Amino acid sequence: MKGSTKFITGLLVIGGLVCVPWIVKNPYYLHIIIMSGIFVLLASSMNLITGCTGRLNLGHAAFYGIGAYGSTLVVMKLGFPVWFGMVMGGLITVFFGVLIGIPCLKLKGSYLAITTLAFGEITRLAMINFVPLTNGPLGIRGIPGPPTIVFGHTTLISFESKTSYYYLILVLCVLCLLIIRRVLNSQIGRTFMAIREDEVRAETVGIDTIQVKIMNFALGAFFAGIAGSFYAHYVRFISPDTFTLGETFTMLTMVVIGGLGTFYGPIIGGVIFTFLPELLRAIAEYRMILYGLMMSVAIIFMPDGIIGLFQSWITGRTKKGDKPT
Amino acid sequence: METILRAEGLTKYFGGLAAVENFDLFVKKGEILSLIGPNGAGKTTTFNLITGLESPTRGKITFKGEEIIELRPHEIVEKGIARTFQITRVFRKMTLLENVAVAQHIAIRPTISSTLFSLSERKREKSGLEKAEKMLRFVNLFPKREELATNLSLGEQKRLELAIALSMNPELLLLDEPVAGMNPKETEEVIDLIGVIRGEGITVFLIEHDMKMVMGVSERIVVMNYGKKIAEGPPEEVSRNPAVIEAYLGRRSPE
Repeated sequence: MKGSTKFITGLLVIGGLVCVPWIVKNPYYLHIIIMSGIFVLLASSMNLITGCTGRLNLGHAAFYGIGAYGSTLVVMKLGFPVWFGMVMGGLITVFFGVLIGIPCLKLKGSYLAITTLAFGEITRLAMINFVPLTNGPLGIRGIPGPPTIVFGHTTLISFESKTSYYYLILVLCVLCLLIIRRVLNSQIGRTFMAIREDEVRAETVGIDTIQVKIMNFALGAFFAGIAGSFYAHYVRFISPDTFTLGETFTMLTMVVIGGLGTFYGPIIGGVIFTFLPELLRAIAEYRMILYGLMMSVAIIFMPDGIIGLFQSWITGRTKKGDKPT
Repeated sequence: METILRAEGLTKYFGGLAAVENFDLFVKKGEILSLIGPNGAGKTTTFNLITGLESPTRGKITFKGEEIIELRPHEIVEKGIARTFQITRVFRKMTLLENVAVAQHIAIRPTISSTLFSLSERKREKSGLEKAEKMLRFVNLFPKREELATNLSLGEQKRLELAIALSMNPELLLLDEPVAGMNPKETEEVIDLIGVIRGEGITVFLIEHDMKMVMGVSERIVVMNYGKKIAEGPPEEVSRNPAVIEAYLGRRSPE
């Protein structure tokens, strides 16, 4: 019964999202909505590593960038089709995720944060300096979009309008979030939590923590890579400036304020913190100060994020109703 | 009775300190064995060595005739040794049900692809949850299954530890002070549980300070002091042993 109401709510939400391009005609707004889709993916994938497993990963923008560059290079240098490139973008990121995951296995807390931060910077510097491949700080322009989807003689979707990209990111988000939700509700999801709570204890209940931690990094990297490859083929221009430490902190803000370790938190955070900077364009440079303030306030007053606040509001209400006194 | 666990010349140094030194031990299949000794005698270190949380400086440990020193903790669990912790280490921000369910890892063996695509994996997860519910019923915590472990009292956390350890179907169960900090009624309940566990044919090896419990449940007692074994035998014999009395109460000063 409860499952079916959830299913119907889900369908209604997706149905509502399908209708968005008919309501939002302004391409600028649609662009922001598409970007929020990308950041929902990024925040959710960062949450897998940082929220669920409790391992602060400050190199997440690097995964985003590797996905973008990986897909772009597979398509432009090797001449593969865009769809194949996007999948490869995800897989190449998994490779790097595992590569950085292995030396990070024994690291915790601030040590892991520093190591992943360095990984992020190295990746960014490689993008800037490996000119033959990445065209350096100038970036790569003219990245092709996905090919037009034709059925018989009728054109079904041509990736020229923002609307078609909106539907593509919607499909990607729904697929990826379904996978993430299934993983979080499964035995693997429980092992992630167990490792966050007490790694040694997790070993003593039969969990191969090394294997699970690598799995965790690979998963987180994959979804960030997919987000990156979508970004590359959507904006059609990538440069190292996009994949900076600042971007990682934006993602971290989304995860923490949305609700660390929850499924819905990063989704809400991702949407809010893509729209907020647009609303705050007037104060431009001071935005980061505001972010810092919000983060501090959030950590002190709502450690479980917006989702936690929402949940305690609901349970608080039902508890009041339940108690006779 | 056959020997299920055997340690020979077990030694562990922390820097210059010998926490455990030349310690020999055997546990017979199906018995209840207690390890006692003053604080700092090396009892918990011995448990850590058996379960792979520390590696010994010297010596060897065999379980069912198989060397287990080189194994990682999760592999030792797989061989059939489960333990509880003295200072409870339940997963605090997980529900009771999740706490026990996560310990079904060996039975479920999930991979990413099996999690996403395999129906039999879903069945294994479901039976893992059923097993967890059964174990929570056994330790009388079923009504609290959806609560976070951090909200439990100390006595309840110890019972949760017991449920987690038992849910892994161990052949040898190591209990590190299972009744420490419990009131007499709670202690009584745990003693009953240990009786049931033993009835299932599980070998129990426990560390305990509560003498009423030690003398009541154990068939054999090993006494440690300063990392060495100072006595071994049935409860009545050990309690009369002068070396044991000295270790616990000190020596009478001459005049």
